[in-house]
Formats: sequence, structure tokens, C-alpha cells
Amino acid sequence: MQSARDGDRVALDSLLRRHYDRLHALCRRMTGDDADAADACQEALMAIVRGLPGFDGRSAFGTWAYRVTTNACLDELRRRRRRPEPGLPEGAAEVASALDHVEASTTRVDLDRALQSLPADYRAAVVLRDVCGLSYDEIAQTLGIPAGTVRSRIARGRRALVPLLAPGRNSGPSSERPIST
Amino acid sequence: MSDRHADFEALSAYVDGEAPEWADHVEACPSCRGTAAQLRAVTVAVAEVVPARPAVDRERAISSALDSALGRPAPDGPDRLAARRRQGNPWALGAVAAVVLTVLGFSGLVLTSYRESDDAATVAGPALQAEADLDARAGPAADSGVASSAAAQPPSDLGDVADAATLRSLAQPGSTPLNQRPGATVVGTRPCEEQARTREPTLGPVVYFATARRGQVAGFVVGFGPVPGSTPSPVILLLLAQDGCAELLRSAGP
Repeated sequence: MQSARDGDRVALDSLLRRHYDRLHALCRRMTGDDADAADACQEALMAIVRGLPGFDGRSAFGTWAYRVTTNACLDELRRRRRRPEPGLPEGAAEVASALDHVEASTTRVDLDRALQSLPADYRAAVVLRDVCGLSYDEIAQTLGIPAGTVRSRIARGRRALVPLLAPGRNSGPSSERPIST
Repeated sequence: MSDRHADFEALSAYVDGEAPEWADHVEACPSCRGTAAQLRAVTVAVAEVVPARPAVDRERAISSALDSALGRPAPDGPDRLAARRRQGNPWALGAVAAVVLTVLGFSGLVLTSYRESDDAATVAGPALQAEADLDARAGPAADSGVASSAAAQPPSDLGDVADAATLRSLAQPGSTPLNQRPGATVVGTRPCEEQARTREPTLGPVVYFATARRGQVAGFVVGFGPVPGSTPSPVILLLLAQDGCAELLRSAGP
């Protein structure tokens, strides 16, 4: 790690290679698009290399790298706002309801489209948890928000995803449950 | 068991192992258990594995990020490919990468028209013979006059080539031809079926291509089938180093 921080290309190459697949997975789920994921991942890799000398080691490198990558994804998404969003045209609940009329309740809406239907802040929390496997504390560190907010964002995100991704969404009790804030 | 149901947020945290205090209640409460099951289904769906990027994309992304962030190209290493680069191939990275992509892009473009014309010419499996020494030649893609661009079939991944001997062994007579190796990219319905054509008369059709790596260098292996009508008809194997584009290996079978 020290060699990488000192700018040693071989060490940096090895470091990026070790983490590339996970960072790309984060980008792919955050952006929902191969090309945007590639762009975001590229930006993230460059930001990691440039920022590594300033990495203070207070968090694990992986957590820091996820933070850099998440920010790169959010930047990419902001740039993408000028283009048509691939997300659901209506709210998740409405789409799920419409689907219920024509398809079996176990039909899964495309994962990318479902994730893109979430606000980016919620999506980041959900993806960091379910794709990257971070704990709430690690997500809090990554996103720079309190752990309670992480918990809330994940729950809100999942609440929107249940009708789209969970089997038996018609009969579940989730709609009866309040979300505490 | 508590009579109070867990709210959705608590159950979401519970399925993440972040709210173990709800375990007894969820176990005893069908309603909460059902919601927890839905939440688990969501986590499983979201955690669906993202397919890994092709190795060539990963190599390109890492190399490009390092070049951009460090502001300098890869250092010369002890490997032969780097040595070839040092021996005077002046091609700039971007231009050469473009040439390599052009080769691959051409393959995709011609393949389309080829398929449409249904003018398949099958060639026998290549019996490749490596030259005794790697002989660098500048710009084989340019020499071969390959042109145009289009989306290409992702090449197969031959993995790391540890040394020149390994590279040679890929083309030794009796070794498994690249197009028959596990994961090899064979677009046609038959092994060695033509995928693309070049305008270079000494090169036959492209019958397969693949990626290989050696140290910092990502390269493309392009296999050219026999030139139609030629006797003997050679099978030529080229490896194009992405940042050198030197022809590192040319071998011809009988």
C-alpha cells in the first residue's frame, strides 16, 4: 500500500486490479448502464490514483475506494440528467400495480430499471449494502452520513423495491408498515 | 415475544443483521416474518452478480487511469514485450490502440456482411509453427491495410502469458489451436470459419482473435487463416501489443 501511495505504478496497478471488479459492480448497479458504468469506473480509478497520497488510512482502503467510486457515480448520474433516464416513467408503486394486472405477481421488473427508479441517495445506500456487502457503519463512513440515516435510506429504498423485486408483492404486509425516520 | 410489530425500517435492519433484538419477535410473528422474507428477496435480487468486464476492458481501464492520473506511460520492464517497445516503435499509445481496435472493428463489420452473403469458406484447423525467434515488425495492422470500424465480438481471454516461451507454445504444432481452447472466440459455426477479411493479400481471413497479457502489456492475438488459393497456405498468428503494436510473433503452418 505504501508503494502505491508513493506512486509506484506496479503497486498501483496491482491495487486497482484487486478492487476493479467490486468497484465496477458498484458503478454498474449505481448507473444501470454499461457505458455509464465504464465512464464512472474510469473516473473513479483516476480519482483513486490521484487521491491515494492523501488517503490517511483512518478507514480501510476498500471503504475509501467505495466512497470515491460512489462519488464518481453520483457525478456521472448528474451528467446524465441531461439525457433521458432509463428509469421507470412513473413511480415504482404505479408500475408495480400496472404489472400486477397483466403479469403474475412473481414477475420481476428488470433490476436495473428498478434500481434506477430510486433516488440516487437511496440507491447508493442499498447498493453499498447489498452489492458491496458493507455494514451500516461502513456505509455511513462511505457516504459521510449518520448510521441512522443509512438505515432509513436502505429501508426506504427497499420499500420501493419490494413491489418490483420481491415475489408475492400483492399479499405482503409491507404496505401496512410505517417507515420510521 | 413483544406484541409490538417491528416497523419496516427495523425489519430491513434485521435482515441485514443490524437489529438482532427483533429476532425473537420475527420468529414468532407470521406478519413480520413475511415482510422479512420479502426484504430478503429484495436483497437477493439486488445482490445479483454483476458480470465481470472482459479482461481487455479491465486492462484498458486500469492502464488508462494510471496513464492519466500519473501523467506518464508505463515504465519499461524486463519483459520482452516492453523491450520490443523500447526498440524503437514510435507509435503513440492512442494511435496504436486505435489501430488495434480497427482490426477488431473490421472483423465485426466484415463478419456481418460475410454472414449476410453466406459465403462461408472453411479452412482446416491451423497447424501453427512458431518462428524460432520473436521478430518485431512495426505496425502489422497498418501493413495489412485493415480498415474501417464497427463493434467487434469480444475476444476470448488467454490469460497471462508469463514469458515468450509460453507465447510461442500457443502456436506450436500439436498444441491446441487458439480457436479450440476453452473460451475461445469462434463466431462461425465451424472452427476456423472466416470471421473477417483484410485487404492485405498475404493474410488470409481472420479466423479468431483473443487477448493475452504479459506484465503491464495487454495484447491482442489475431489468427489469420490460409490465404484462399495459395499453396502452401499459411496460418499466421499475430500478437499486437496494445501500446506498441509491434508484431511479436508470426508463425506459418505448412
